[in-house]
This record gives sequence, C-alpha cells and structure tokens, in this order.
Amino acid sequence: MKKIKDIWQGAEACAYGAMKAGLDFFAGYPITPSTEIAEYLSAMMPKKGKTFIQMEDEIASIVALAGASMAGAKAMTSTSGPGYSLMQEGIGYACMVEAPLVVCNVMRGGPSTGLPTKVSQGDVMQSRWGTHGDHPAIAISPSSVQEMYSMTIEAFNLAEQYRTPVTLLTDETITHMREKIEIDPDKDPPLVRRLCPTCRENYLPYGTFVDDVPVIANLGDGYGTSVTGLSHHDDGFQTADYSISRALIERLSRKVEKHSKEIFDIEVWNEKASIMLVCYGITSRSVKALLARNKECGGGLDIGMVRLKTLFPIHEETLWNSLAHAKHIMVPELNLGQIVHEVKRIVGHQIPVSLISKTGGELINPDELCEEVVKINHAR
Amino acid sequence: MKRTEIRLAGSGGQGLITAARIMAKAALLDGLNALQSQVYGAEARGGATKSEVVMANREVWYPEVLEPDIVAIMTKASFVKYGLKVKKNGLRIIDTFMVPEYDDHPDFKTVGIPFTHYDETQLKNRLSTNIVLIGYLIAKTKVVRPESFVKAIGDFFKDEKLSNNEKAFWLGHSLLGKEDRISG
Repeated sequence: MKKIKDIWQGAEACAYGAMKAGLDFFAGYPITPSTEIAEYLSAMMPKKGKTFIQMEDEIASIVALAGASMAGAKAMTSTSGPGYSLMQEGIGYACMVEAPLVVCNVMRGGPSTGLPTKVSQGDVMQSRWGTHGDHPAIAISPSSVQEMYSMTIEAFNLAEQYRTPVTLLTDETITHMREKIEIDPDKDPPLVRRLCPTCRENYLPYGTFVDDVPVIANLGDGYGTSVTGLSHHDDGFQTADYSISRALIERLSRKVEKHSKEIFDIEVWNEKASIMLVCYGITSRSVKALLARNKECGGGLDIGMVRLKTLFPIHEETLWNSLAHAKHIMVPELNLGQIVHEVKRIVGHQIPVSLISKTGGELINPDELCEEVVKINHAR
Repeated sequence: MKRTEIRLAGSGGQGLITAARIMAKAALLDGLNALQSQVYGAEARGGATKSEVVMANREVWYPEVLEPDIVAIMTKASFVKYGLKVKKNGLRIIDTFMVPEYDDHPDFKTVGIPFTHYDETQLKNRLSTNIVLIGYLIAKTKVVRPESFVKAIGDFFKDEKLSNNEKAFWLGHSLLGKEDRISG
C-alpha cells in the first residue's frame, strides 16, 4: 500500500481502514447515514476477492457476520440506530459464542426512525447495554476522518484479541464530512489475529484459554466445534449447570474488564485546568475549537479537556486521575445525558459534574459551549 | 490564512458538493487544512441546499460554518434562505441569471454576475456553472491558487469532462472586472 495524503469522507476512511485491517466478509443493509460505508466496501471488496453481501435486513446481517466470523473471517457491518437496535440479539449471540466482529454504528437522531439525516450521540448506553444479560462491551469513538481510518483498524484488533463484538460508535457528521487524511502504511498498527489450536487431539472449543480468551478452531478447519447461544460446557454443548454457567458469564466480562487499563484511551488538553470538559466523538471538535480560541485570546478561561477515545470499557482509575484536580467537570453530549452518568459515578461524589445537552439534530457550537462554561466560571 | 468559511448555496444537482470538494482538495495542495460538509437530507434533492468549505492554516476543529466569509448564491430559493447570512464585511456572490433582482446590503460586499448565462453561451453546456462560479470566486478572493484548483479538478474528472471543467474554471476566472453589479 502506498502513502496517502488527501481529502476523504469519513465513510471512505472507515472502508479503507477495514480493508487495511483484513476485512474478509461484510453483510449489511443500507441505512442513512451509514450507507456510504457499505457503498465504498461494495466497490472495494470484490476486487480483492472478499465477500460483500447486501442482506434482507439487519438481523440477517449480524447473524451472517457471526457465522462468517466463527468460520475464521474478519467480519464487519455498518448501520445506524434502527438497524443497531435490530442487531442487538445477534450481538448478544456473538458475545456468548465469542465471535469477533466489528459493528460500525453511525449515530443519527432517535428513537425509532427519528432524524435519519441528522447528527446525534443517542446510542452511547446502547453500545454498552443494548443486548440483554451480563456481557462484555467494547465501544470506541472516532472524532475525525483520520480516526475513522485508524480506529476501524483498532476495532478489528480489539475484536480479534478478545473474541468479542466491538462497536465503532461514530455519527452522521464525522461519517459524511470530508477532511485531510494522511496514511503511511509503515505507521499503521500491527494487525492482530485470533489464536487457533494446532492439535486436534482432545480439542474442546471452550477448553483452552489464553488470558481468559478461548482458543477456538475456525469452523471448516476439521476440528469438531459446536457453538450455541445457550450456556455451554467446554465442549460447546448446552448446560444449565450452576457453577459452569456462572464461571462462563464471569469469564466473558472478565476477559475484557481486566484489560480495561490497556483498552481505555483518552486525549487530554490542559491537564491542570480547573474546569475540565469530558467529551467524545464529534462533540470534542466543539470543545477543541473553544480551547483553541481561548488560547488565542490569552487563556481567559481555565479550561481543559479529557476526550474519551474509548467509551467502554472505562478504566475508572485512569479517568479519575485525569480529573481529580478539577473544581468542576462539564460533559457536553448530543443526547439528554448518557456518558455524564458514568462520569458522575466515577468522580461525582467529590467533584461537581454538569451536563451540557443538545438534541434535535444539531451540533453544540463553540459559542454555545462558551456560554455554558462562562456561567460555571462566574458561579465559582 | 485565518479560518475562512465559504458557503455555496443553490439547488440539489447544481454541483455544489463537487465544487466544494475540489476546492477543499485545492486548499490541501496549497498546504492548508480544509473541511467540506453539506446539508444531508431531503432538501439535497431540490429546494434550497448548501455545501460548505472551511479552510485555515491551522487545525479546523469545528466542522460547520458559523458565520460565512464568502457566500455564493445560485438560486432564488437559496437566496431567501442564505442570502442575508454573511459575515460583516464579507462577500456575497450572486448568479444574476438565476437571481436577477435583489437588494444590496450595507454590511457586506455583493457582486452580481450571470454565471449561468456565460456557461450557456460560451461553453454551450450549462453543466459547469458551478465551476465557472468557483473560477470567479478564486480570482476575486484568492483563497486558493488557481493552479491548485485546476490540478484538483483532475482528481474528479477525466477526458472531455476534465477539459470542459478546466475551460469553465478559466472562463470564471476571467470574469473578474466584468461584474454586472458591485455594491457594499
């Protein structure tokens, strides 16, 4: 692959990142504002001998992904709110059978069909608790076209490493806007591939673990592999045994949670500021605009930023350490308050936390943000 | 260059997104940062729509136009919706073939040129009015180098379309000084 410096759409960067990560199988159903990702991939994948299928709906798409993944393929789909809701059952199945896959959810206004063409951050808690039962969740949040590329690769790596679904949680604006992207293949992260067994003797699909992640043979490789969404034994067959079921559910969450420190990634600006804005995705662009403007004007406001590149899992100590010095924390979100509750849970007993909320399909612009910050600044 | 916000307002199908994309690429070739966005919705298929480019010699953090420095108007409907939203001392460019009558405004400069008429009579296709307009916009404001824009056209078009769009650009570029009407 060659070096690239160009103006790209977020969707194009995502598709290119997926190809770079080794995407083998895409199944999806068109939905605004995610369709461009599928469009780009439908052109790219056949040229590389990869499989692109437009399915009959999102339920079929996610289940096809789970199947392809268990057969060894690096699998991905792209969707938006209503489709992401339909996929939740299949995402739970993939958590349970431990099928690595990537779901790119391009957030638009909800609930229901909502605002198909407008930006939102309303699916944050759905990316954590969308499917039922206790389960692991990894969700990462790009805030630029560049990160639509790099974080797509990262999503595949995380999925492969922990054998679990990963949500690339992006939004309409990041996906549709075009801006500078620079790709140097030498600087791309190394690709991760799931471990596979090397010996057929005494093989059990859920019998060998490396760091709590099972070493499962790909279907079709000649190993006897059974998978089920039911609670299962190490042989992959159903059981309702208390201790086996409990150990399974605990391990599923533990395999991700115990690595939350490595997975959880933040970007911090003005780390010592007394007012810290905790943000993610497109909203962090407004925060950065405000901070840059504040600096140009002589730094009248003592404000800083913690941008969550990872939404889940949150490593509580890392977040706490980045905020412990603050006198006030503000959380701008394009919803009625979702990640703000996580922040409150972690720091709210010691530091006041307030929400800056905007819904209805428009961004929080830097002037609006400034007004809210100035109010808090005066009140202090 | 400080943050410069450009809005192209017209109707779906006039090539406003393409024009803005080429301009963003030209800005990149000039070593600037650029961000292009558009209205994405039912209005993009007709009615009053817009396409925007924000460029600067520093990072462009906020993606949307807040107060446009330059506004180009290509239809009556878009004049009604966006015609008065121009930064103080900014520039408004109007295609007077599409919007023959309008009021001047004391807070910003307005120039009127019948771009569609030039496209129709001199290039005989009426497919490249968008690029004729950009040719003028660049001659007037120098936001990017003309050579960079012409080079960027090559990323979007090939063969006959490429040469047609190059011609359209230089036609627009030559219209500086031939305005129908200047005010403000």
